[in-house]
Amino acid sequence: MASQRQSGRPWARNLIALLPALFGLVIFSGCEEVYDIDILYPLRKDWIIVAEKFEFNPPQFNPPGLLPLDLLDGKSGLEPFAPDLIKAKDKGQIIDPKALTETEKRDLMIALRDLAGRPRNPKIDLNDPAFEATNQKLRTELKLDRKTLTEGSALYRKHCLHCHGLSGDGRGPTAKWVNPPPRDYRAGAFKFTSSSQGEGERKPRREDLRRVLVGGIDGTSMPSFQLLKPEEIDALISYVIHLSIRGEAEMEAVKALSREKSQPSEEGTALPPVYERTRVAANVAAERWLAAQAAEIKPIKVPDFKNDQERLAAAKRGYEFFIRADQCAQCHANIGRDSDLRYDAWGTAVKPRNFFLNTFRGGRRPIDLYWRIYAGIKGSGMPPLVANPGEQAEKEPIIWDLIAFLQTVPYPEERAKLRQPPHKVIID
Amino acid sequence: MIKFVFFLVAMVAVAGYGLYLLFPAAFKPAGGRKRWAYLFGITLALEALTFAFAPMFKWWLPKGVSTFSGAVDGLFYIILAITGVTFIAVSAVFTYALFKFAKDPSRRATYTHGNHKLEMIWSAAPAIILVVLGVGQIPAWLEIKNMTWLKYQLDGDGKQERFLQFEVAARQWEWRMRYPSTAHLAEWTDHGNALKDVRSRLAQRPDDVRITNEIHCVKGQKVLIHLKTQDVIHSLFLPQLRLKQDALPGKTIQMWFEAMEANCVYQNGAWQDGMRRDEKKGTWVKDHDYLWEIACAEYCGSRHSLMRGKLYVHETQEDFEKWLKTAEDAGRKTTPDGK
Repeated sequence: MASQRQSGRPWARNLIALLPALFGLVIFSGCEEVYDIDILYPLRKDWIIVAEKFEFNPPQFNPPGLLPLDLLDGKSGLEPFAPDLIKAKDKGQIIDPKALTETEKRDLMIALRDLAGRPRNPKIDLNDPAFEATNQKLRTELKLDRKTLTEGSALYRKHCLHCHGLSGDGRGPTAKWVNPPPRDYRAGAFKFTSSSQGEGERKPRREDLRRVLVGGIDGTSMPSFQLLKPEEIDALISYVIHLSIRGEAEMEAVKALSREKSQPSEEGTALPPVYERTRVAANVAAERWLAAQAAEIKPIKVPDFKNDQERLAAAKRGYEFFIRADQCAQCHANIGRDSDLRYDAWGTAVKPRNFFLNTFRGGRRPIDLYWRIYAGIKGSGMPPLVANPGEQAEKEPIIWDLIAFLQTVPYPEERAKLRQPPHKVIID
Repeated sequence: MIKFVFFLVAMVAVAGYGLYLLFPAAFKPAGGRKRWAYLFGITLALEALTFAFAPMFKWWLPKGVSTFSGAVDGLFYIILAITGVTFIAVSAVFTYALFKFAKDPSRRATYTHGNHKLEMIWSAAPAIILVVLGVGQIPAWLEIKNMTWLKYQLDGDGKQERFLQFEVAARQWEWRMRYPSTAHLAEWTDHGNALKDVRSRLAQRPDDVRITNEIHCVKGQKVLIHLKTQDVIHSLFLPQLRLKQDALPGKTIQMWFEAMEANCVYQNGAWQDGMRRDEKKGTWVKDHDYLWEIACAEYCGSRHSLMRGKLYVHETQEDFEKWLKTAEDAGRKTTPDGK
């Protein structure tokens, strides 16, 4: 009878014998890095804004579950909410990378693969004797050597990919559900920078990226990665720069291709091939990144307030500058309480900061504010106050006045002090 | 290493028995269904062994350093003893029955209608245990969580206590702390104010010290944390302090503790945690048991497991103020390097 039972239910015994094996599998899974060498960075499929600035403002914030500009795909059913955006697309202010021909896409893919490698084995190689000096500098000065990048890639896939996406496109699985959406590095624009380059070519310094990684960004979904080791943070910074250079080369190539399609070139002049174009764009971006590292903005003279009254007097001067119709108040209406929505360089609906909220995304230290007022916030529409470094000495006092003012706005106690004579600044 | 060996032995034992079940013939059948008794017997023995050796491998509670960690651990041990003894007794009887009655497969079980007295006993015993535990935990619960007690301490009753107060705001996935500046520290740690006033004293000021993922406090000083969350539900868990409190959106929840030992010292230009003070020699030595952490104890999203921080308990008030001053200066930077 016993033997009958044994042969009657073999599956039960099989299952029991399998349990330890399954247990082991669960325990030891995830120990080894498995990322296929065949995986390439995906080509860009989302819309690119070509226009410098839109003439219209967005009607609302981006709805949850829809990334900026994705409503142009026509699948969300939300098109009626942004008719202006559709008109801009029709006017050619927004272009579609999907419109490239198959040959162009293939060429672009090959060019980018040769430039930036693959997620498992990333590199930056400008791949041209003419650019060899830049190549060398990228490896030594910007730490874009293969070893650092490979480490950075593994860390990036673990910590960052789920928001920022495999190619740094800001389109990871969770990206749709956070507001503001994660940064898309492919535009090559970063908001919180401390380099004194011109607005168009400004890149952040490694220190700027480190500050964001270590401190997180208050008021957004970017958390602090303070508990990572310093060398891990370094590897991540290198990898982000790598993704940004790759993405910018791709974006510039796509823009150029689409521009030439709309305005056919004169007969006889051969168009540069996609491969060449991508490499040149990458070189331009790389040069800018390198230049940024040495171009740190340093205040010339830091005000030394003897007492509270002097500080409040500075705050009052800052206030008077702030509310001028051609200055800050143009966008930060009513000190930000009545600001209008606008599109930024990525097509996101953003609002100029309301200073009463006491949220300072790029940091609240005076030096952070100094950098932002001096250089503006790239991509957001906030212009630099100091257009070229020569003006710094002249404009610096007003920057410190503005900082003194901004640091009193969020605090009721400070506002109360400012309301007293002799200042009599009433802002609430 | 030794953990791994132990784990391996256990795995081999279980896997071996699984094979035995799969191919009984290869193991010379021991007859009847006795092997089930062996399986449960071995399992019981392994569990008892794990239990006995766990403290040796530090598979045990982390060091308890708050004033109430003894009370919490006491409750834990009482419950562990009751459930442990019951579990071993029940398993032993079960294994014995499997072994004894597996001999004769043709033997029929007897049917009984039950025993009134036994039923009474095993209904009443758990009820009594539950009541004992329920009453027994009241003092510890009151001390840790009851705000009336805290108010009494804050109001002061002849022996006024100073509380170091600060704010902890949780968000996906980090802890953001807001401390008073050195200028306002005295005001924030002020005594003689009722809890209802506490919130007004946490008003935001331009010189507040804002740091991420680190809690700093002083040995032997009561700390009052005002816990908030900016997004979803989190839970501030300080395992070494035996303290855990959920953070609920829209609420500011108070929690308090007092650490009895210090774990950090200023060395090599930074505050090093994981340090133990050798009282005899008066020096500081590295000790893994003194790496104290902050963790989130409520699943809050994909990076929940990485939402961690460090707990620094300073030896003296001067040390704490020295740290606070450094953090404050870092927050007031007007030039990229230096002050």
